[in-house]
Amino acid sequence: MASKKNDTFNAEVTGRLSELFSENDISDNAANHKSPADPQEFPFTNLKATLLSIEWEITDDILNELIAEINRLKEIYPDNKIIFSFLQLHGSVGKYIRSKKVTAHPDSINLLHSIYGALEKVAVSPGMSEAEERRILSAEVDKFKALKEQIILAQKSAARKMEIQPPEILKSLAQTHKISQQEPDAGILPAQVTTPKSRQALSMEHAVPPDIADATAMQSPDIAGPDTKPLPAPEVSPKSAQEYLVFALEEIKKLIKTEFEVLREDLKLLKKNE
Amino acid sequence: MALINPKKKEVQVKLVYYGPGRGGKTTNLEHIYDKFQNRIKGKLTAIKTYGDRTLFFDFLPLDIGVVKGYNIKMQFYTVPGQVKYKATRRLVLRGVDGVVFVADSMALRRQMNIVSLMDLKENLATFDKDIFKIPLVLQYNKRDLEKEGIRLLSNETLEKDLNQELKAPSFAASALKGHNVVETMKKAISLTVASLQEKLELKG
Repeated sequence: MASKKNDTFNAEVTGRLSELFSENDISDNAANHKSPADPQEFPFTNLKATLLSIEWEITDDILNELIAEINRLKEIYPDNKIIFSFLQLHGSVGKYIRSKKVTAHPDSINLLHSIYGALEKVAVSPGMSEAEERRILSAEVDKFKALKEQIILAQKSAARKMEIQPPEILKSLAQTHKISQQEPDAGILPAQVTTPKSRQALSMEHAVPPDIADATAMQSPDIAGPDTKPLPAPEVSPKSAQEYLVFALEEIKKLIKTEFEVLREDLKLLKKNE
Repeated sequence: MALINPKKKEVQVKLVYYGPGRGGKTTNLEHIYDKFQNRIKGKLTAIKTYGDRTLFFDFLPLDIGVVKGYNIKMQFYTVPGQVKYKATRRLVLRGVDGVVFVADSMALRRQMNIVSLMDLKENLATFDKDIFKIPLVLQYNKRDLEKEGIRLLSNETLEKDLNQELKAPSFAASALKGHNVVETMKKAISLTVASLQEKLELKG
């Protein structure tokens, strides 16, 4: 009896689903991705496989594999200026990601994919004119420059935030102790806020580590012109206990904000569906 | 847990697409939305705040229609696969009724699939849900990459790694090409709705 009930229920559900997902009157908009070339002959297959696997949680091994593959390809194409320049771009971005890991700018991963897409386009089109190849390369160099600017801006903005704004917890501490703005207690507030000058001194003090320096010392492709510079060095981490506290507070604030936004969305959806 | 409204004769069912980052969870929903958008009343809402990665979740509502006198409203969610968004992943799992685990078939991602499945198990446990009991479908995505010469895990390896104990229904798929995307979703819906049958009968 129960089994019969189940069968009826399942049949009803299956019927609804078949109706809903029937192939009649639909427009298939699914992407139609074409393989560029025979994988056996295509020299960039390994590079593509490694690029596709790059993730936030990626290990050093995978990133080292990427750099090694780029170096291997560079040895194959020393005389092909365009391909070599693409590989140099890959190398610069790859080294930047390796040095920054999960904190790398998310667009850097997209840029790697974009550069690869352009490289593949050039590589599978033997009849393409050099002017066209240069145009495609220049477009990627422009994206590289744009990302570099974004990273520099983000670093400046983050540094300014840390320099100017005292953390909320310190503000509330000040209120608790009834410290007026006119009479700041030098022992509590100003001493804990890094001034622009001291921040600069800190940056100078902590030189860029050798591996990161190596990543940023990468020369831009010749084709890109003399004004193209490597990706900026990753931000130097705060070193003092106070700076760690400020950094941790910012992270906690971001996390709480994120979680609240998710909750708000949940509530909105619930209200909407009520 | 499904929200059942006996007055309105309406049930809201929550199905979550789970799996490692860049495994194709969002692509699954995008395919469904692109293909059947003339039949889907709601909109695919992707909350993306950073680049093109899903930092919070994607949301797709879908009305199944009337079953057992109840209007079944499905809500599909994806979760961010990146390790650093564990807290958000857990939140999206709250009240989940069924799960599609989207595994990445690339050989390079073997360990991440296993880690992500363990993560799902742990996160479900925080809501007193058992991965062995919840309606679950596995999808082995990106099978199309084999044609591009990328080394993939065999179906047998994926089954052994992920499904040896669970014994859940599984599909080899390509979310990009749409292969087995609908089948995965249909199976997940029917399993999940069937799991609610008893509750619907009690309320009815």
